[in-house]
Amino acid sequence: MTARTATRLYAFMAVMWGMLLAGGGLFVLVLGPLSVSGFGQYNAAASSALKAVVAAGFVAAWVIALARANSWMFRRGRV
Amino acid sequence: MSAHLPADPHMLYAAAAAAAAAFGVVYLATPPLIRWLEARGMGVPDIHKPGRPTVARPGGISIAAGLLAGMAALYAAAPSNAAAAVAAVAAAAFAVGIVDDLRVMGGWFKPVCLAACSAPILALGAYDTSMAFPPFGVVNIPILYLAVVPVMVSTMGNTANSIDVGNGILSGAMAMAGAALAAALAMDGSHAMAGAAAALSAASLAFYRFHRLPSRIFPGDSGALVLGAAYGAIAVAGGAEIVAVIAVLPAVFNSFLYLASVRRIVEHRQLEGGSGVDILPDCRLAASPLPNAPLSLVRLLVSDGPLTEGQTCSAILRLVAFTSCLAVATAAAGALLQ
Repeated sequence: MTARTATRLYAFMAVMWGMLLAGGGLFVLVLGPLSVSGFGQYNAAASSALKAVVAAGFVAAWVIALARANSWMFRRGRV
Repeated sequence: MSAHLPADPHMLYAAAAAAAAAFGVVYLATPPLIRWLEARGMGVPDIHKPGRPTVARPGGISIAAGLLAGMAALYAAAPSNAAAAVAAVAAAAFAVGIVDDLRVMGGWFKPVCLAACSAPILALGAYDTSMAFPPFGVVNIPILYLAVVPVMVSTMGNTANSIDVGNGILSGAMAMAGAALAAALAMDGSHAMAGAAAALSAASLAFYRFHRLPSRIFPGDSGALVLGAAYGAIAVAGGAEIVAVIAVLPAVFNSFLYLASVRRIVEHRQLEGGSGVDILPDCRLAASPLPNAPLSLVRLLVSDGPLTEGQTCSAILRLVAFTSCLAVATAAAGALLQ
């Protein structure tokens, strides 16, 4: 393994870490205060459903971003 | 955090007792287990060695025994639903792994069964619906969290299994990640689960003594699943899911590469493109030239040229050491800012 590949691997781990922290920050900022009213006794369930949809969107965006980062850093027809 | 117990010296002794019990049982039970397995012809060829010597398997028997001994010691010193739930998850994951060791099951078998293994956590209420995202804070997701529990246990179990690709990698990685998780949980005040993570780390470290290059025993699916599922269960019960994921990022990356290239959940043994890594006549590992071969962390490591198994294993373990440090740093930042 060349030093360049090793550097890329460690950099990619750091990128994944940063993306996890950034995603967590967005979760806290966006999902934390999110609440739904007007559904009576189902407010909690409706809030959870909305949070689930937003969370699924976040996770999908995270996976797509990770795939892009992976392609940019490693693939390029080398592996 | 869910496994809240007062931060007193008693918990430190409980954690030390759990770790000592786990380490001692694995260290003492593994040599006779190797002899017992060898006497019954229960082994698999180590394909990375000249002559393909047969190596005893599954070592998950001693790993599970050690982990359960650690959980028993922890429960005896400081009874908690969380410790009981982790022990139950570990036992169930071991049962799933043994079935897969004795008879190769389909690609969906392990993820689905491991998700079911998380039932004790839900049944015993050993979780908190507030999910921590250090260093920013927590988000309360009461209903959504019920889905996080099986996903976490199943994902960690399979992720641990996917990183078991060379002598000493699984046990070494889980020893480091378990220690990082223990430190993170201790900083967060979840001392009971810090003890459980210390026991997991100690069991992995004791097994590493026999699993490191050249391996005398392989953990098998039973060993990988029991370590991974227990790791996920501890993270859930301790409320440190994100930190736990950070510590095993190289394994997560490996799973991501595999799934992104294969695009379906399937056993690697059933793939036409093989494992993605070829073994040269001198036993060095090289990237497969097959266009349909799956991507993996090992394939990435050997993409510049062939490496020996030892070079590959140490490169992966160094990566896990790096991400374990990132996990501890994340937990420390979270503890400081709260």
